[in-house]
Amino acid sequence: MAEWCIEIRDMFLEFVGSGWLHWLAAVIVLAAGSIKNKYFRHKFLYPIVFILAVFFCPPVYGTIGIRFMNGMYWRMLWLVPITVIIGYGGVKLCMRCKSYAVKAVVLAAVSVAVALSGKPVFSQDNYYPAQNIYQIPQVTIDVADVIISEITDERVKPYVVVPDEMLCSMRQYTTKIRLLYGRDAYAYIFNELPDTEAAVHNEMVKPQPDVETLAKYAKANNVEYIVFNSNYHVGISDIEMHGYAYFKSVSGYDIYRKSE
Amino acid sequence: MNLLNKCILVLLFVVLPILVGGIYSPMLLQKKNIMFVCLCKLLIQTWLYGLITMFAVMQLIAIPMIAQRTAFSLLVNVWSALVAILAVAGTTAYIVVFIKNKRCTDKELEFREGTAPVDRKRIAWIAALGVIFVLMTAFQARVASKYQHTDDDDARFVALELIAVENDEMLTLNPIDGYPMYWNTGEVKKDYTSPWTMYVAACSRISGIHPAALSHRMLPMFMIPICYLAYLLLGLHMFGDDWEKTFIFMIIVSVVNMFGYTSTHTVSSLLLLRIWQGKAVFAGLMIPVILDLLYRLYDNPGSAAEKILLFVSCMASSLMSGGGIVISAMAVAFYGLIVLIRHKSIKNTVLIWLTCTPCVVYSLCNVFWYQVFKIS
Repeated sequence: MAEWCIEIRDMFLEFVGSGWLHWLAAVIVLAAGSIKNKYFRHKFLYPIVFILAVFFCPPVYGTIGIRFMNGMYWRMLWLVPITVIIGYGGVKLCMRCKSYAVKAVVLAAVSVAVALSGKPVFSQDNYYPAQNIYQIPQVTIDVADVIISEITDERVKPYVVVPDEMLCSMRQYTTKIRLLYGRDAYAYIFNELPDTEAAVHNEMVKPQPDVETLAKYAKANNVEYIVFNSNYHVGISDIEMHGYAYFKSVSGYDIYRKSE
Repeated sequence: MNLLNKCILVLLFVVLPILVGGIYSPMLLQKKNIMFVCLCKLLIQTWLYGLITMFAVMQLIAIPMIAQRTAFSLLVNVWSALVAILAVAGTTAYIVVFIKNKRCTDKELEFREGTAPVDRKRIAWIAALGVIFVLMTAFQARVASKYQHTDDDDARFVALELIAVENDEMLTLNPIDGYPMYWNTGEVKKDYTSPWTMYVAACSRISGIHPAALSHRMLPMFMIPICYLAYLLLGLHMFGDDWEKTFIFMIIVSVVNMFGYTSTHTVSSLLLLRIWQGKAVFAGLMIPVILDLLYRLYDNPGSAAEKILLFVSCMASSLMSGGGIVISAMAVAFYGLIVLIRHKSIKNTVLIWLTCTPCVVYSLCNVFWYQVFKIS
């Protein structure tokens, strides 16, 4: 039970993040609106209190949360409409003024207060200029196009090993390429990779991979192409002694193709 | 991506939803009130509920077709045919509604003249607020569409869409690496009962736009304004169709969303960072729609229209994510209880609870996966 309490608390803290002032504003609006207003209390306050009570109830988490909502229990907090409550409070504040000019000033003040107490979604951390129409890294497209251009039989889809930075984007661009491992290298659909695939990945994340081991397990998995980041990987040309021949360089990536 | 592709998207996300939403127009325009602002509200309602109906239709047909391992093209064709039928029905309903309104103009006009805002200063103020709200929404849609945001979950979602479009098969291959796989595994098990990716893939197939370009570039352009329309409807209900209050509300909601990146889990973060994913559409669109309907039912628990729309919304929520199935059912359950406490009407509470039947059915499909999807 104590463990469940801690997990619930952690989920709540993670959900709120740095948004405590937004939550505080919503609590103030709810409290102020509920005084002498039974309608508001019933319609807005009680459902929210009810949802939070259920969310913070350890037996609910233990019975329903873990079994049926594993990993998404915190999404229950979406039902607490913080945005709507703050908006409602802002409207009530603005409408206390009679003149349109004062209303405009109050609206601007509320907006500034909300902005200063939050964190912008549109920032350079989240958004950057698009490199192409697909909005995926251009290097992925360049490498994929080179490999696709070598495919003669449409039914044959080559197995490819790519550096980690291409794991998530490669198959968003094309399904003509199969990855030996994808995001599963860091546990996603499956918790861990099969041993031979893990052996390849373990070498690929090293700046100086053991190319003999890499080639051995790549061949065992029928890998047709191995893509190295030439700015990160060193000593990779020795792989030519182990059954993979240099094929092409594109956008700072060296592509080796199975030669045996 | 040429002009024709973009026009088809406008058809899929604007024109068709408005036409399909026409089927609800007789019950949404009960007062026979044809003032301009009422028409605007009707248009917003039919657009939103029409789109949600299109989601619901996809959910209804996709699950059995995925379980039967049918080709993706067949799903697209059946869905297109059903949407076309609904669009024809909706258009007919619009015509009927407008003919009915013409017949009762005189008496209604007297009523309308008394309520229409005549203060020019006030109209200018409301128009200014409306323009600010529209500009803020357009800015958010533009930034989210023009600039690139990388989310690793797309390795699954966009890849699934691409597999459907390129290989004409649904949920057969592991999206991450392209191997055939058994789908009763962790995260992807939810994709069977919530095939939002097949909806995006269908839009991609019909419009001819690559799923990555559609998801990252075009969907934010349509979905962000549509999500704000859901908040607009919520505002109109909360403030008794007062457009001044509603626009002030919308401006503040916009600001909260733009500065709501206080954690990656917030509705604002999902709405403005990855609106092409099912869970984000649920958080950004379906939660305000469901809350609005539940607030309306709180005020008028006997209303059949809201119950029908809530049922369709629960079906649409099930399409979007596993969370959508559970959370929309929870919302209906919570607010049903509030209606019971407030109005002490067991009949209405039970009817409200029944609206989340789709969620219960699909969650059972998920729990009894082996029995429903006999796939190896």
